[in-house]
Amino acid sequence: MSTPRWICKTCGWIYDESKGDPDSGLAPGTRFEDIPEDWSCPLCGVTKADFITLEEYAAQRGASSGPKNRPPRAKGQVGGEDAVVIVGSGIAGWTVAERLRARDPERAITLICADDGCVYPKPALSMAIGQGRSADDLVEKSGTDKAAELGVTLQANTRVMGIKPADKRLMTAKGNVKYGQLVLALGASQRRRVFAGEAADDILRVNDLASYRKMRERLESGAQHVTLIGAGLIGVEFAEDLHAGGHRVTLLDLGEQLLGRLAPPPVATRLLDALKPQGIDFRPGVSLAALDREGGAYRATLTDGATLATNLVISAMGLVPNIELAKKAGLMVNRGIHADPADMRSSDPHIFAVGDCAEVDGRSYFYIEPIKRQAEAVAAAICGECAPFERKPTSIRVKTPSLALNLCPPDLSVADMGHWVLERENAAACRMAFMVHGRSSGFALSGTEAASAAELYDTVCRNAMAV
Amino acid sequence: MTAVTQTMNTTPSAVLEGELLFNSIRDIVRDKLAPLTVKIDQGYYPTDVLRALGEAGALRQHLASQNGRGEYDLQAALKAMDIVSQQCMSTGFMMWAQDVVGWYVEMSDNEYLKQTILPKLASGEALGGTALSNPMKYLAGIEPLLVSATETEDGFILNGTLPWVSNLGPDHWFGSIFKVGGDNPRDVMALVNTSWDGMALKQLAKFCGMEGTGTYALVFKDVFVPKIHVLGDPLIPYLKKMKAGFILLQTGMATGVIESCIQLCEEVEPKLGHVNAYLDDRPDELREELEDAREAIAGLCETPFNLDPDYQRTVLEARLLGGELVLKAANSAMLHTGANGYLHDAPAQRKLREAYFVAIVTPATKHLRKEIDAMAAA
Repeated sequence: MSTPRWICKTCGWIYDESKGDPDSGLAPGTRFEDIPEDWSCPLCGVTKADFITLEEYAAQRGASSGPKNRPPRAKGQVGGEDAVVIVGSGIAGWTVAERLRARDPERAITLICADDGCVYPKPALSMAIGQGRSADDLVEKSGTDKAAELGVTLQANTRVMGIKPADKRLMTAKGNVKYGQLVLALGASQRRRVFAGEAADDILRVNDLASYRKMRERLESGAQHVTLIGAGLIGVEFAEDLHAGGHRVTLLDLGEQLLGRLAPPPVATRLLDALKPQGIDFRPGVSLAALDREGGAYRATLTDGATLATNLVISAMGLVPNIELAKKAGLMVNRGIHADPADMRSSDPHIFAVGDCAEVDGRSYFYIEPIKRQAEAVAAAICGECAPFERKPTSIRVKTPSLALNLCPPDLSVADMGHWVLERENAAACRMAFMVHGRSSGFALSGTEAASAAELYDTVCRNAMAV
Repeated sequence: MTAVTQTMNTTPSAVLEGELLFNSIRDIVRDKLAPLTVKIDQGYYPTDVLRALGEAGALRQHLASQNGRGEYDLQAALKAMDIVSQQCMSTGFMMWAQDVVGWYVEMSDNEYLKQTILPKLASGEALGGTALSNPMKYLAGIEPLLVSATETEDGFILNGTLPWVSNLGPDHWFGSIFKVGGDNPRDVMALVNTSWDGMALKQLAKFCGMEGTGTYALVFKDVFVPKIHVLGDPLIPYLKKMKAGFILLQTGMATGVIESCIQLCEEVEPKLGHVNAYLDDRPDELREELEDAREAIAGLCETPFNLDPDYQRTVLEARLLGGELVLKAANSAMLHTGANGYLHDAPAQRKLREAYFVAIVTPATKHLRKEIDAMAAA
């Protein structure tokens, strides 16, 4: 582009010496001063005298009244240098939007999500069959309605492909988006493991409404046999809910008991005793090895060599925070995205992490209550206030209708320092406490004892603060 | 430059070699292609340009067995396509078709084809098309497979019709996926020649542009395909292996057109910047998006055989982004150049039509979104 160029002041046609104007008989390379005077602009017909060099032209324009800055754009634009951009439309993402809007009615907020942005209660995914609710029944509000209610610009069905923290912009499949502050509410995914067999790709992982809908579609044709890989919280809840829907369930887990480290063995045994009469077939110490097609169904080969005929395999081996985006962007990550409990800020001052994807002091919080408090911390920080995220013990009500179960596993800082004590039990109930130096630091309650969870939780919290 | 290497030797001389290649492509574009751009848009098939590009090495960069470096240098293949597409995306599209036919053979285990036909495809001596539009839509659950086959002892007999296959002509090669009936029903892919007995090319309705791309309906009437021409059987593992490369290789068309659209916007900046400032998607913003996209694509080109679902999804997203950005850039080129862009032979309006092609050609924007959506629920 270094060859001399002249521009027609009237129409803007550019004469480039290297190209000439062959249609008017000017060969490429013809110098401007060698052009005959009777030559005219091929576009508008004015003469050579109406041409000036591009540099002169630019200088004239520079001195004119043209705006030096880009004019402001319309409201409702996606992102922007002054906007808070939230990535993710799960409970974490929408709660941040709600809390921000509550604090600041004017702030530009954009929410970008890979799905349609609809609002639904995620914990319901493991009890909807028993409640007779379809995937659509779970939707409380469409993304569009929620965005309108909060005055948020929603960019749905758009996945974020990359973050450029230095330039404060995101790359999405629909183009770049600028941000002032970025909130990552990326969630977590069910752990993926590679299984052998031609049908291994058919294994479902259910962790959002889209995958849940797919599971329900697969179950539509009537009573089926379902194999669940993983007997943790999600595994046992799904097992019971699927049974409630008339399906037969085999539950596999490499560990020796239900609920893994969340529950002490006596409580896990009580749950197993409650599930057995329902025909839920629990196979401890066993996982899936391979999945192949057979007839219209599958043949699952297990790690102990046994095989079983099954119609659907669901993997529930635990949640893994979605950190890839943050990692690629150079943010500090461990298991989750590192976030400071003071304000849930990541290692970049303009980026926050909240919910399943975040990690605070080495801990992930996959439950609603702490996630809402994290959202509050983010909203406060963005508005220049302070509402630190307080680390509290986690209390879990397990959604297994056959046995009421409330669990408060010990925090990892004390997990190796204490032991479970059986405080009370009878045929219908069991109460265990995790004791550290004579103080209760966790509990596991089943049956009628589950009702005392709130009271015990207060004690555990007080003790935790005392430590 | 990034590339998947078998030996990992991106030495300074390899970089220099790359620059020589790109300079000779620029020469071909200036001397041979540029004078034909409008004619190609209207219907002229530029055999000589494609042959010259092949001779220069533009069509073998992604083929480790053919480029002399033993590396799958998708990036170099894309850069070549980008340079050509800046001038004429029809030709860039045919480069993709040609690149992909070579990719089919390179990814197969068929030593016979690798010895006989692949070197000719890599050098441009033999030309060919992809013919996978229908099979790709079949695999995404959008269309049924349109070619069926009966198996014989040493081959298959094919019948059916494939609409809209590009870069075809007499004695051109293409990859065909067909549904085999009989005792061992399955889908198989093979390399087929347009001049074989029973093959016919049927001229279709006229398109609004890109008419010189050798696009025809392929009609199969009892076409015998010898088993020695089979590329993939079993098909699915073969397709999985080559899919990311197949899709990534398309992105050079998009980046080339986006680049040239930005240049069109920039060229009128001295005259119209004062009023173009009121437009959305200004050249500096588009440039930023283009560079981000190029960087992301370059990263993906490093591991074309990664079967991880996240990687595969990102490849689809990169292709989707190409389709979205190119429309935005072409729209911007029209708005920035104004009436001058609307002239009969103006580049801006041609690029607008080219941009729609990027978003429509398989995998089209809607097809990509469907696939990405299906992956989200997995």
